[in-house]
Amino acid sequence: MMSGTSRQLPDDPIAITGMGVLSPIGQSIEAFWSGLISGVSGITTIERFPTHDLRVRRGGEVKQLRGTQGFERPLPACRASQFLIHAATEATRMARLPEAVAAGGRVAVVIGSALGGIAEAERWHEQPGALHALAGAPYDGPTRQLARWLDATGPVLTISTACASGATSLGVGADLLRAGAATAVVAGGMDVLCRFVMRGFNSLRSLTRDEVRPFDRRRKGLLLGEGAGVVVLERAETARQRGITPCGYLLGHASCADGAHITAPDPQGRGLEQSIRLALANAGVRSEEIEFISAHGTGTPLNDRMETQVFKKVLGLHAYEVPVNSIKAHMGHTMGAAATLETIMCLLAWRYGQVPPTLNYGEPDPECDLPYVTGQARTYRPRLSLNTAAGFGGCNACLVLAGGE
Amino acid sequence: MGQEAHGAYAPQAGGVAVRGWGLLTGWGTGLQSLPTLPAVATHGRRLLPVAPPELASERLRRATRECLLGVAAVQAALDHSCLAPHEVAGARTALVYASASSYAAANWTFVTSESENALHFPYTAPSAVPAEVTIQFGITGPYLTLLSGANAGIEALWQAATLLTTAQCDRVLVLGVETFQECVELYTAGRWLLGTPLLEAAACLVLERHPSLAAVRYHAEWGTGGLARVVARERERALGRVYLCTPTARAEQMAGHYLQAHWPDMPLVLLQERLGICLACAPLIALMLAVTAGQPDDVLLISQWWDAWAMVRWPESPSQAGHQSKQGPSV
Repeated sequence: MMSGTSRQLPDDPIAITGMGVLSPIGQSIEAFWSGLISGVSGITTIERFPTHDLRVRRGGEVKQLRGTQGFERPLPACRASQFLIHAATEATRMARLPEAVAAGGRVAVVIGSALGGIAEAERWHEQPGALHALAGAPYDGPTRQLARWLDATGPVLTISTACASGATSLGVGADLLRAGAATAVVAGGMDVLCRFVMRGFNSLRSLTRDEVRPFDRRRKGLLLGEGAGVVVLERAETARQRGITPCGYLLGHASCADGAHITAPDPQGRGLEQSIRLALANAGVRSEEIEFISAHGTGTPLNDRMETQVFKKVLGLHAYEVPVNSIKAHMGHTMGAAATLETIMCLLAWRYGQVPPTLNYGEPDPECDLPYVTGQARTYRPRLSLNTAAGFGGCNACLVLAGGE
Repeated sequence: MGQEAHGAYAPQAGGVAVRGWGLLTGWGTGLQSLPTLPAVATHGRRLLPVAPPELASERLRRATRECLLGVAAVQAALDHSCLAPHEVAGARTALVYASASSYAAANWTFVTSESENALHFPYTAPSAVPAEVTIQFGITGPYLTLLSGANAGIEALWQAATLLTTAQCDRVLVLGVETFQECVELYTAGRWLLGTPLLEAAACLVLERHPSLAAVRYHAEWGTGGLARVVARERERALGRVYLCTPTARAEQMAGHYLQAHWPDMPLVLLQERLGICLACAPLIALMLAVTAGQPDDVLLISQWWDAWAMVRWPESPSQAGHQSKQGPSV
């Protein structure tokens, strides 16, 4: 069997040449990684808006946006746009994207979000002001702000597959590159905490008063978080010509439907299974070559059980050999940002040879019996990773990733 | 390259054919309901709403109007395509959904309500409309929602073509839904109701791979001069007609003048003047009109949203790729 680590990559794959992060546990790649590896929790009492009437008042809140002093222009007022710009600035610097633009490159922007600019609508409702402030409230408002900030010239797309958006956006970005519609794509996901989403999840009673405990027998639900993850995608040949060493590669992707329920995942996981199978086929990778799985792992009883079943169905006995983790307990479920942040985590695990732990895990669940990485970070260097995501409306997505050179 | 083929990304030969469609608008059902002279037919109305369709389904009793419209448009498209619902169930049918406005009503109502409601919140997600469609028809194939304003319709057509030509599915339902009625005060405040009427619409196209057609081509430009770059890029290639889809009357006027000045012999259809403002649904309806017209050359669908221009070049003779609908052409 050819291991993922030793396999050759296909000709001219989609390279990830830059990465940027804004999260409750760190506002740069290095801080994010440090927080993941050392098991930092970004879960705190939410302070930015009233929560007195909610059952659960905690979440992964970004307390203060740092590192914006060096920006040449003032940031837009929209918090979601600020998050995106912050993360994109780090990613585009890493990819030396301004050089590519100066050389005539066409930059596209593809952003996924579960909430878009809804916090702007909420703000406008609380303090009605100029109507143009509502222009940022649609789902595509923050994406447009980012495109203006970057002086993009190519396609500018906003996509939503609910909490799987941060994976689907990377896939659509790869499609744009293969279609020749852009030479580089700034892709990722973002969402911000606001009363809208807290009230919604409060009404569904899916938030836990306990800790988030992915795959643990005691798991009772999720907590929400906020953040942004952004990557720069280019064809590997383009990156090579520019002298950029890729952080990793996006080998395959797929997003598929459950067709089962408006909020809950399909107990059989049909959409997730189809997503994984299609993504592997896209990548030309066999399931036994996968070396690590970054699971959606929300900590809800149904999701974690369903995901475990699907991994076993697709990977067979190999599933019992592949380390699995979830980083939702570190910072809550960051919704549209989650899958992009997890993609970045996969590539950093390859770079640094460590896999971050699944926090708050203590009691095994007989129905969740895979080799989860728990307790402390594990020394392990996975080249080929699966990143899975799911969301409202029966949305599922999967990415097949490879570490860089 | 490694031992394994780089599977499904290898494009298949051929292009994409329109098998059929379903259309519900404030003007009525099907293309034949569209007026010849919309400006006269509006009788001064600034919003042309669509009544919620009557669907015999207990399961959909809580679904919002936009969800019902989406389900009804898909059902109409299947009828027009001579497809039974069980033929689109499963993993080989994809659903690509596009909208600029359909989530606004549920979102705004939730923002302004005093108390949260577990039955309401799930319908604030833009994925609610496609979710109800996938549940209703048992679709478990590729699935995504595009929300890039009025350009989402063009992007949905491109994504559908990508899914088909990379063999990720055998058939794609491209669905657009635009509703305005529940948020009419916001659109009034935004002065959207001062010009061309807002036209509510639910449009669905059934697309399939077709080996003898040329590929669908997508292009987009962001920033000043975007339309000029699109024209410069496309004017050298043979083209039968341009369908222009803009979100405001002023934008249509300006873009229309530009196209007539710089592409004087090119037949031009102004969708907004023809229909009203229906945002992401406009390109889908434009493609229905193009197929019905049986253009001998490629057609170009162009849309605009803020600083962004998007286009797809749809290959020649699209009507020959269709099938014999049991209803016949709906014009």
